[in-house]
Amino acid sequence: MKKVLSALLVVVMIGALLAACGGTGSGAAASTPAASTPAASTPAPSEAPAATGGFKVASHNAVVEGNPYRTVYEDQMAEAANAAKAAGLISEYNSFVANNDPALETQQLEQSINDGYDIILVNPIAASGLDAVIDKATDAGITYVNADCIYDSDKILNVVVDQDAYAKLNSDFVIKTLGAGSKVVQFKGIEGNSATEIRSKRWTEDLAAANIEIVKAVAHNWSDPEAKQLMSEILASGLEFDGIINEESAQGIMDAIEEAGAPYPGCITSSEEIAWIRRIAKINENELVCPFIVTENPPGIGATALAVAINVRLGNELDESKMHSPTEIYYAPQWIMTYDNMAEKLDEVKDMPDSMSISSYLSVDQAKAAYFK
Amino acid sequence: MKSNTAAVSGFKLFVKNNQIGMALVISALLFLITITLNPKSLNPITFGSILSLTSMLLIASAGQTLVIISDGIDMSVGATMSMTALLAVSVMRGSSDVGKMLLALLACLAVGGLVGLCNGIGSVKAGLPPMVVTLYISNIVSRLQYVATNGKPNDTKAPDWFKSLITTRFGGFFPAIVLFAAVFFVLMYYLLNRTRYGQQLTLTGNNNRAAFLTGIKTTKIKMLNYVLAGALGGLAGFIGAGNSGFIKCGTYDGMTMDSIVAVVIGGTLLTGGKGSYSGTAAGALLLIILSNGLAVLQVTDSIKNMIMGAVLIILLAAYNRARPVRQ
Repeated sequence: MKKVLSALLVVVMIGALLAACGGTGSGAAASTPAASTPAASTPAPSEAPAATGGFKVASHNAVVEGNPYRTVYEDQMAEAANAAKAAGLISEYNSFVANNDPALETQQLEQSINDGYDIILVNPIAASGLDAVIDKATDAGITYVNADCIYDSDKILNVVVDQDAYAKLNSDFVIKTLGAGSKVVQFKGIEGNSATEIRSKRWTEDLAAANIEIVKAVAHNWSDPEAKQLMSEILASGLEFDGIINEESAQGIMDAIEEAGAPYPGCITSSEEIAWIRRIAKINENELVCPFIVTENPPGIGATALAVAINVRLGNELDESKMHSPTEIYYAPQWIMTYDNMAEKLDEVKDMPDSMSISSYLSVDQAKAAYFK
Repeated sequence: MKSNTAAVSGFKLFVKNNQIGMALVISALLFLITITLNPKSLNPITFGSILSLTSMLLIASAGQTLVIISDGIDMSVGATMSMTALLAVSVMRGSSDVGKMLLALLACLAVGGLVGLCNGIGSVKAGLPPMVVTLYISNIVSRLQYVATNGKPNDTKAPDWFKSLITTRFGGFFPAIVLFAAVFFVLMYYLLNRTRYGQQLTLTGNNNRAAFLTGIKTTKIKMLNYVLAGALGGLAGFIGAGNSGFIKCGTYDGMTMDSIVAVVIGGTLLTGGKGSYSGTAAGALLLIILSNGLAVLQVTDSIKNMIMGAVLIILLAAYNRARPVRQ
């Protein structure tokens, strides 16, 4: 009986895991195309792609489950790939997820190299550890492009969101709204994460220069329940502050404030979840009671990286004057909402579900115009 | 001199044998230290915050208490809560219809119970290690959320009236969620201390073979316990749906470790056979007051995590070592 039950359990687990893996996008049709703001169509370029009818593209992602950002990343990548397929630029597109397992990530990348993909796009687990795979891919003539989380290598092209520009938009807003002599609480994402560190550095420098004191800095790990607990504790401490500078998880922060009946902060910054956009707009529906800025941190960076990779593969020459460095393309956030353009921006997202995030990306032609000669 | 010695040995006995009392004493001391060092923190928001966070953790730890007493462990509490919180908001869909709320409640209980049943089949019937089985079940439950919603659930928040029901603070400081936690407390106390099931569960956790030889259907008790724990996790997810303004896939995944820590700090042995829900309540309170105190004292995040880790290890070392008298 025990053996039968054990076997049955194993079969059920494997079945469920396989079903679950199917949902994470291991295949071109795995993700439902997302509604994105300026997702342009992908017309055929002037040069014809490979004689095979298009390039073979593999996308490698560190994680999808538990991460709404990566969900949109995968969706928009699939959307852009479908558009490129329709334009005859891509013949095959497949997506692989390593679930934060470095060994699996390496194995999947090796497999993609062996399977003869023309383009490999990687959103890596860490900023190092893939050098051997990169060497193998470049030796095989594969266009290897790293997207989103930066990878430290001068052998590949990094296409990443300009986190410094993102952070500067927020710090400028806080400085303009609160002014010198004010005090803010800083909510970081995950300490040690490259995006969090770049943002934190910019905020610390800008606010100090503007004579604004960060009276408390905490990390909510991009988790709403953690953000709620931290904000509850800060309110309980009687700490005096004028505003909040924050990345993501603003819902948890606002839950704590509203539940405690505390006054709204003098300003709050955040990223681009649709639910938050609607909530902060509702708070300020009748008049401005809580100044805010919503800045996109576009998960569509993966799709932009795809557009860049296709251009590279087509033989177009990168324009270094338009790049951050010879191996780095920085994509600056485009979608920004404040009280001043609230109505217009709300209208842009009216058909998007609460669980989505704002994200824009460049088409093949737009990427060519932006970063190539 | 004699009376002094007696007082010291009496104190030592209290410290040694009264985990719940000590958790409460330490909580009170920490709170006193906190408000002494930072008098500003003595305000209604502090009480409300501590009560609210403790209540949510206490509710989340109910099933874990039952499972650990029976010599098991449930790594799927967080995933079950996340799944049922999503289910609750999906069923209610922002409606003010009480019927839909009841339907959501039943759905959460059923799904939680089903997860518990799977845990039970793996851990009890198949005899596999509970930590491994429940961890894998947790993995499956987590991924099912993504399969069902494609990572983008259509409904992400509970109706406003339901949220108010959970998060309102009476008199500006007394959170309504405390009343839900009180109901949990009464039910759990009755279950563990006033029913034959509770007695049999403790005996089974203490010594499975001895319990079996005395006529207790240990397999049945443990299976039922996992199902009940799963259902309680589902109920916690239902309440959690109202406690958070935004529910997405994996919202409450972090509750698994917190629930285990709260249970063991409260004196429930990880090896089973001894424990109580009042201990879990004391453990949850201590955990929240410690975290709150460190935040209030303006300790940086890294130092806060280090201090919390050190304090928790000391408490566990002091109170959670298995007695060498079993089996």
